[in-house]
Amino acid sequence: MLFLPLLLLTSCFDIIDKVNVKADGTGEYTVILNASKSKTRLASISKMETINGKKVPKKSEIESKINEVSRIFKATPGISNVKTSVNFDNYIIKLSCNFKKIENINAGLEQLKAKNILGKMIPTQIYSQNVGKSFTRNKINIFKTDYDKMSTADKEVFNNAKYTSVLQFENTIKSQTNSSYLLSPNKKALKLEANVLDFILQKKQIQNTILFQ
Amino acid sequence: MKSILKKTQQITLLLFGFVLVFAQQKMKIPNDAAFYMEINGKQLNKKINWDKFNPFLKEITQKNNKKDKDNKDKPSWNDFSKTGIKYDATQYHYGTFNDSVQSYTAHFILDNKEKFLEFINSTKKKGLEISKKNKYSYVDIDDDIFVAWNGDRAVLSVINYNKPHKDDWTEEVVVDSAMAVVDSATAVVDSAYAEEPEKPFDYKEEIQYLKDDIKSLKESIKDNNAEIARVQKDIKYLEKHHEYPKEKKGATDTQYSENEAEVAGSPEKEEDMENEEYAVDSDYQKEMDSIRIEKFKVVKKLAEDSFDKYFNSNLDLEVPSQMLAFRDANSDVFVYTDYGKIVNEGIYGRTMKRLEFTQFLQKAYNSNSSYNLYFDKDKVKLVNNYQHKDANVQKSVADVYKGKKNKKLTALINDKSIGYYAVNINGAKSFDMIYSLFKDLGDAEYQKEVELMMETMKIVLDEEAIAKIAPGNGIFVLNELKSKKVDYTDYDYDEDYNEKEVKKTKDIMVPNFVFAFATGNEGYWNRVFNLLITNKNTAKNFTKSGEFYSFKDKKDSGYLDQLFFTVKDGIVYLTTSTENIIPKDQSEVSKKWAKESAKYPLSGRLNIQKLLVGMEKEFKSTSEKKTLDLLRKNIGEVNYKTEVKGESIETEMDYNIKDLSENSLMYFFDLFDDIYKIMEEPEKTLKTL
Repeated sequence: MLFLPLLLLTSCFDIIDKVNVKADGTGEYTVILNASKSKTRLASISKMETINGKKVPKKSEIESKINEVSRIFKATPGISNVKTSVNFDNYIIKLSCNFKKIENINAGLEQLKAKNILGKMIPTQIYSQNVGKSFTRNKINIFKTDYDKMSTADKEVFNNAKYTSVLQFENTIKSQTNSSYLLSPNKKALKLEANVLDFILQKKQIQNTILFQ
Repeated sequence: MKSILKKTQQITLLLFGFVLVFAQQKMKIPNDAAFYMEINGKQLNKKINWDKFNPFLKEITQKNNKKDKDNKDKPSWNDFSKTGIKYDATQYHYGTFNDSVQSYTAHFILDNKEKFLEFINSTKKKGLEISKKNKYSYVDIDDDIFVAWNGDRAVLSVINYNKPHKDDWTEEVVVDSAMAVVDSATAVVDSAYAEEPEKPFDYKEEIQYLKDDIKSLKESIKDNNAEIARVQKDIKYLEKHHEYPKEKKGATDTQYSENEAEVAGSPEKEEDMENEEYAVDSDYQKEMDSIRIEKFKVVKKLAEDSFDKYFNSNLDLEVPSQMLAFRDANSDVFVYTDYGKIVNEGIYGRTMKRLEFTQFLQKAYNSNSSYNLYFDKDKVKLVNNYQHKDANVQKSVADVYKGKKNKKLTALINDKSIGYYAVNINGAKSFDMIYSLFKDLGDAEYQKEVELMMETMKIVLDEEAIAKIAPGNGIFVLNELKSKKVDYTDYDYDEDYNEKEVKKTKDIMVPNFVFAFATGNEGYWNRVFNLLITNKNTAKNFTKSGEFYSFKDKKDSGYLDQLFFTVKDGIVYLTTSTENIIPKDQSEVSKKWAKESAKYPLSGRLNIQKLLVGMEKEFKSTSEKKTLDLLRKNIGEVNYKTEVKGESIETEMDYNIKDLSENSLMYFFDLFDDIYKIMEEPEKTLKTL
């Protein structure tokens, strides 16, 4: 949602969001926006001022937005080692950081919302944990309202968009409440892969509560 | 003797009466009409398949009714082929524009008055009464839509009125022409009434009439009540607290939240305020009502006046011959538009006055265009005739369109070509066209300056030399869409779900085309291209190999990575493949296109089917693929040509259809209906979730 204006111009994009949690509750958070599949189209579009009545963001505008996100994350208590990268040859944007506890990420997202980088409708209380015992990916279902408001042309953008969520733990997983997440052979990681539209239309659920051994 | 005289007198009076009746004149189309349309019902009605059209119209009406609160449970009209309107008669439509009024009027012939009344009753708002006038009845089906009818004619009038504001830029006293029209029209109507035998005053009828007025005014008031109530809350709050409630950070709407109320110091009162019903401020309501009433009164008066004028005429429309100059009686639809009036007067008029080059633009736009539309069995044909109102400008535009042929360019069209666009104009004459637009322009006091400026331009510009660089012959030929592999980055995962960047490839479609134009100065273009390969900034991407200069994008991931250009035998070529400039064998069909592209000043052709086949890989989603399949099954070919014909520039555009529908009109309907169904599908899927 952060780069919605840019995403609306692509025909195909992937979002990867990964959380790696250590036994003491600290960890690393990574989010990757990959529009590489549409790079030919994006390269042509980036030469235009507007497309379908929407302003095409300039490279400098995208970079300054990323820097702003980085600044906000750096200023959030509990978040450190914030790294960002923008690859305009392949149209890949990456952000990673370390956290003391997963709730710091919620606070960082909350800050982005307060600074109007994230829309008001975007949920921020995404994760919660009981260190060493459980980890919860909270339910989000409000994107549908935003989606319904979009024009048919804008809706089409999401038809080929893919979302991947990876949760890695130092602890071994005992059980989970959402079987859509695949469990790795070492029982320390979970992966959920689906079309963005499946989550928007609530065909697939994102929430999951993981209990550790 | 006396009785003979009396009888003679009576007969004379009777005859005189008949003469008066038959002397009723045709209704003249208003002077400010900038749009006129004739629908040839006799031809078009035969082409409409009501069995297909009717269910579709019903569905659309039902869908619209559901969206509208007032009409939620209203049943839709059952059979649109039977509305009482005589569909096989000619319909006349026209639009007028001035500073404050924009109107659209349509004249229909009726073949079943009772059915038409039923139809009107199903369309108008519940409870709205029909007003009866001397020669016709009418009803306002909306605030700005009026329908009037007598036994065999009906008129639909849509009127938009905006009171002109004081023009701050020019400080001119703005005269509301609409009000002037209303006043003068009243005078005319009054005198017209005076000539007719006056009906005795019926107070009951008058009371009913006034009641109807109140009803329609109440309808308008309802719409404003919600807004009034909101503003009322603001007023009451300001009276109590002398300030607006403080806004929450980031919130866009004014919110009366409990927290903010604490800041204001009266939380319990604040909560009450949310629930309290406030009476609508009578002053405010009066003001709002008076604005709406005033607007409705003007619009209603304008509609009544135009209805009076029409129903007091012999019910025929008198259209100036200039508007009909290019009408073809065999066309299905004829449209005349006066761009001069639309741009220079009407709603755009004042904007135009504020522009720098007003007079130049006003002169440039001072033209009219006529369109004849034909829904033939195998194609849709649109013929446009453009005519500038200034004979000198028209002549200089026509001169530009009289270019020479160039066979070297037309040889580039071949059997494989998806489409082409060819231009054969006289470039040198375009300077004369610009000069003719500047000539006799503007205030007399600046005329000398304008003439001097034109003379200077003629001295500074060597028109002949400029025209030699590109005299006006050019062609763009799209030969095919080729598949090209491009790499992209994706992510794979190991068994612990660690992501890993991987390179993958995919196919994209890139155009293979040639753009070529004639030149009388090869040396100039060679110097330009040589500069590109020697300049240190451009030399990174530009090289020369043999007779071709080439541009190559190092990234190799775009639609146009490599372009070749060269100058040869008086032609400058720009192409994606050097093969394209070698003339190929032309079959009879491509020979025909080559001939056409040389004959007309502007011409083009696009085989959309071939284009879609080439773009197949760009259609990814299910609905996109469904639409593509549908289009591939149905879509045809577009041809376009422009030439000077008599006193006009004539452009003919043909769209050849595939023989799947009964005619080209129903073809469009079938196609639209199918696309509509595909578009509706995701919505239906959503609802079932």
